[in-house]
Amino acid sequence: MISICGERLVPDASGALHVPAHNTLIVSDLHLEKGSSYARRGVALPPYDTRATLKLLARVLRKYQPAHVVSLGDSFHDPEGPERLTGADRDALIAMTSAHDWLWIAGNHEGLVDGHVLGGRAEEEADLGNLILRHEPQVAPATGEIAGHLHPCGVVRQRGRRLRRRCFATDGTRMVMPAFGAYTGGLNVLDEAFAPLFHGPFNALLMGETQVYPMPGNVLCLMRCSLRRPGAANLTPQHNSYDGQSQRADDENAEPYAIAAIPHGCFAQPRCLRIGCSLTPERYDEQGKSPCRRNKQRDPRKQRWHYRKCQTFEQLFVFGKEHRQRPADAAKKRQDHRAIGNLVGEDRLCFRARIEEKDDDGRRDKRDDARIAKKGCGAWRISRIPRICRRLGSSPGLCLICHFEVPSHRVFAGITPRRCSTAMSCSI
Amino acid sequence: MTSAPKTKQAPQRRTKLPQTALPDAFAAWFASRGWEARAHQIELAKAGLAGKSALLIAPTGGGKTLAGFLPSLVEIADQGPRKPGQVRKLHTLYISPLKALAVDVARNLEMPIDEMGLDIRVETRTGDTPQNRRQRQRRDPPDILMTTPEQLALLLSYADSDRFFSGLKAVVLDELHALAPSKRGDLLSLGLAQLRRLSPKVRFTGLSATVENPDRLRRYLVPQDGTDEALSELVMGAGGTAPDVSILSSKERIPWSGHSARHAMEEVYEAICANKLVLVFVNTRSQAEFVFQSLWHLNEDTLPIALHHGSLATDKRRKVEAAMAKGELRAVVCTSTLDLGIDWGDVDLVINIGAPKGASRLLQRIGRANHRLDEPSRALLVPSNRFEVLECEAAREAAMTATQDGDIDRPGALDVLAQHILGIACAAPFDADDLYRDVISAAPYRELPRETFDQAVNFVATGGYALKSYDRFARLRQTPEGQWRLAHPSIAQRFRMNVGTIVEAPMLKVKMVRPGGRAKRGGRVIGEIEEYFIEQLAPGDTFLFAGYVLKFEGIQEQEALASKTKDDTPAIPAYYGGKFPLSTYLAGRVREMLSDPAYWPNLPDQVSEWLKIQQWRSVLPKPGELLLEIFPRADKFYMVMYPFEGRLAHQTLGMLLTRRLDRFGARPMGFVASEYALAVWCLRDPGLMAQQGEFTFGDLFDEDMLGDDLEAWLAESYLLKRTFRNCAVIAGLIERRFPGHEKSGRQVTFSSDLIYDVLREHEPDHLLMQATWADASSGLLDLKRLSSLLARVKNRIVVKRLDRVSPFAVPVMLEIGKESVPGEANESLLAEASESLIEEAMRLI
Repeated sequence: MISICGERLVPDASGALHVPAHNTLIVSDLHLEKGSSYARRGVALPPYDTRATLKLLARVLRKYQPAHVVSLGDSFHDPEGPERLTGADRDALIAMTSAHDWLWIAGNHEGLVDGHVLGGRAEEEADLGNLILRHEPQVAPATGEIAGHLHPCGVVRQRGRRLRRRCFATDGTRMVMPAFGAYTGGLNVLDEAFAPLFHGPFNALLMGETQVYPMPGNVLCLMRCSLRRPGAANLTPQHNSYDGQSQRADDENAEPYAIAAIPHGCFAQPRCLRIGCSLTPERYDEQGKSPCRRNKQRDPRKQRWHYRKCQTFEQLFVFGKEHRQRPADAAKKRQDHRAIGNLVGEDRLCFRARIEEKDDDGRRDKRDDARIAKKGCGAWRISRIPRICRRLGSSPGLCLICHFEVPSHRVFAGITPRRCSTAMSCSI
Repeated sequence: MTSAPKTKQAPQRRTKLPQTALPDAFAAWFASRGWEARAHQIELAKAGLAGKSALLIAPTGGGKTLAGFLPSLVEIADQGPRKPGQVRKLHTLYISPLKALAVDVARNLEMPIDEMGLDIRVETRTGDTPQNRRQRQRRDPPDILMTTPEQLALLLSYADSDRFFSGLKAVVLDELHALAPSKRGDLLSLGLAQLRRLSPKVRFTGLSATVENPDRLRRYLVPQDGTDEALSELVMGAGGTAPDVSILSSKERIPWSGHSARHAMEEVYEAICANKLVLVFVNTRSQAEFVFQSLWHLNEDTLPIALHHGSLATDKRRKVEAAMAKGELRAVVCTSTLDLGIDWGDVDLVINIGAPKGASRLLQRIGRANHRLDEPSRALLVPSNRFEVLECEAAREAAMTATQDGDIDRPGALDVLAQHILGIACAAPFDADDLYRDVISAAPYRELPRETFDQAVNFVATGGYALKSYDRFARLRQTPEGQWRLAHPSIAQRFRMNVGTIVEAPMLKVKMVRPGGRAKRGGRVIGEIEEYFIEQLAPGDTFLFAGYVLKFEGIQEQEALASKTKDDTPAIPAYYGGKFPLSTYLAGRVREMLSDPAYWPNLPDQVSEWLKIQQWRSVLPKPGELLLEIFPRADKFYMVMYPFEGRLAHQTLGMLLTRRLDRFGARPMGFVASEYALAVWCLRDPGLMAQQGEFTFGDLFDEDMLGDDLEAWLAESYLLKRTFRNCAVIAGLIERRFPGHEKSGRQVTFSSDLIYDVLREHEPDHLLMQATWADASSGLLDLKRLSSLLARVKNRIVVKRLDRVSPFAVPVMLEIGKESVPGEANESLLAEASESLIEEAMRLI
């Protein structure tokens, strides 16, 4: 039993949170249909995750008999999740939503759930007494906030063994809830993603089999202590939620690179912009510099991930054409191509948004603008991939963007009429 | 394919050959070297030229490899020289378990080819072969290609594999005894079945060291027809001279426990000084590091002593091998990486530190000394503790009489089958009936039911779940004609990146940097180390690796940065998978020795005295009996037993016993397992409880513990989860690598645990669960040996209640605290962590 903003909360060992005063049960990050989400990318995980999650949820509902239920976002792993529910799972879910006053909070994975189909109401966020319920925790101090999204888990060492459990993380003013879904991984609460949320000591409530074990944050340990340095570049979720799906908390760290899905690199998380480098921003050092040894840039501002990206986009798409037409020196040319090589799915998706931001400068050519608006990044994909394959394949014939093996005759053919066949699936 | 039609198809030119000897050019070559072709070489050549598959069993130094290639050389030489621009088909494929062996054999084969002036192109293809050469090899194949089982699987997954292998006449399988009884062997057997389809005339030649049951390998070489009679020809080489094996009788005190053999290092060093080139074999990589460090500590003459183990960087290993071959080294400390047939220089003594663990393994190692048949190989065994003295004694007897360990016959693994099915689909659409016929022609799969095969196909296509919800995301689809084809070409690419059955523990590269240095450009990679070991280090900690004392600086990408330093007490990395269990044969022999006081005078005085005191204080069990000692110590009651069944079986037994003791109310607190013994400690006295009739020891060791208790324990067992991960990786559910992503091993571990939990609950009889179970019961759980133990000791448990610890119990008691059963994280630890904090907070002073 803990108290936040005068509201008494009962964390359950299943990962649910009961608020007795309001007769409400809160669960977060169900990630239903995660298995089938991977299956459509060619990784046939057992299709029973939805069933397992719903079964556990039903058990918790029986235990607490709440009048209201809140699913705190990321209820489905992707927006099409509800359509892929199998008959039995759908019935079980509808039975639950109709037996309780059900509220779906929007998450970054699925957006707003359609209450007409599955029952219940859908909101961006909601109030509950003194509490605010939302999916992504705010970076600013947010008293009374109950959020999910980050999938916290804690690691304790005891007798030379390391125990890792999902946990509730709270500093007495706000709380981050653990993920409830069967296939959801966890992000260590000592990760810097939690740092801006708790300005002071915080507690982790580790989920055991039947009870919750409170531990102060300072007795927990990181799995890879040496990887993340304190004060490392703080890339908060909104920085990379370009595609409306912050990959960071859920797919990258929580369950790093997930289960080998992501076949074509389209949902790859932000990476170091240097070619062939797999560093992710959380490995950047105190100044936000990539520790990548290939990174020769000196200006720290330019190395900041999101900033660099804007630069890159501007060069590539807005002025890219001029650059290429100009008798530019070879080094410059190479740099451009490197940057193209590192563009992965979400970069391309966020491309238009970035252009709009740049509009204020008024420095761009109108014609380019029109061309981009018309064709979007899809056009780029179709026309450019063979060129990149030709120039940048790290192993011969391998396209760095879509990772499709390009037969040699096509590598040398320059732009080919046929689009790189995996480019289509990049738009999943 | 039986041998009768084979003979008819035999090419005409063979009739020109003399029936008893080789073609003139070859005979002349043998004569010019002053050699005479050995009987088994000629016999194998004859079988080969008649197109028959054959198994050659000969001891090391018997010219096995040349024998395997002779028929191929004769046939290719008969084709005459290559015309300019002519592209020939691949004639012979050579497959070895080690990359280095393939390279070495290729080099050795060059000599006869050059000296006879034959126009034969020999090339290697391993993971290290550059991409351009691989592509060229597919376009313009050499006559003889040296490769590994993984590369064969890869070659078979290309769409042009039918063209590439269409002219294949012979396949030579080296070190077949090492390859066949593993998952790699399963993959290879399926690959061979496919080769038989692509080139029906192909013959297989197996080269093997002496094995207990040659029929198993003979079956491996020919297509199976469901009976036990399908066997290849068998050619036996003449036996070599019996080896000269001695056991180091140390003047120092032999330790009670531990595996470091620290006491014997000076004597080992003296042995090195007295010989020209010594191979020092150890069982684990951490032991190799330790021994290497100790030897250099003593090495005042600065003899060139080198280190060689699987975690070192490849170029470092190659350097050591080259130096050995040139005779620049005096000693090499190595692990099983040098076990197999590579011929590096003239080794005149093999030293084995620690327990040999198996008679066959010891024979293999001894064979590294002196690659000449007519002189005895010399070996020195160095036991590192008292139980190991017994084990070494047993192994020495076995080596003298050339006794082999028996392997267990295990059916082919289903995860490997799934990988093969996808590989075949990558090459071309397949018909399930045809493929099934091919699969059951492979020896490990000869009893595979059609139903299981169909399950495997379904697994590859849609995951094979009872809940059919993935049909639209299938990886394989059926054409209207009923053939299975790949749904998307990218699947083939991903398959090729993940082919193989070796799943390594998560590794990080170790890179040398300047002290205190952040990563600079460059820096030397000196090898790979288990990620979990590195995770336990804080920056500034020191550890021993690649013969250096290193200071840990930090992790960057997939690299651990370290700098050279000086420290007397560095940590030594532990490695997964470095431990072989004691073989059944040796264990039985050790039990016999213990029970026979007449044998003791043969043992060193210290050891026989130890046994005598044990007999006086407690009792020595007769063969077939299980001794169980119970004594109090520090508020707890210890129950120590001596089954001699190897660590893995003991671990499982320990788990099951503690569960059962808990049920009986004995309040067990923990257990520790060693190779020889198992100790369980409880808060109540189990001896007293048995006396008062609360339970009997018969109940405690009842065989039904392998039923429900096992099932309940396995539900959360970390061992099974780890096995599941390996199976899921091999079967292709989880990919090790996929384009553009570096994924460390630990990242796979987490998610596979979650998948395991869900799958176990909802579909416990899924193909992957079957594969996991089959693996674990022979692997990490060692259930076969455990069940044979329980059957053996039924009604033969000797319980001895003592007032204090017995001499036998000391070694395993000393292991307490050193050895924990990893990962069995449980609820009580969490509660303890939480409570200890509360206690600390509530303390008044």
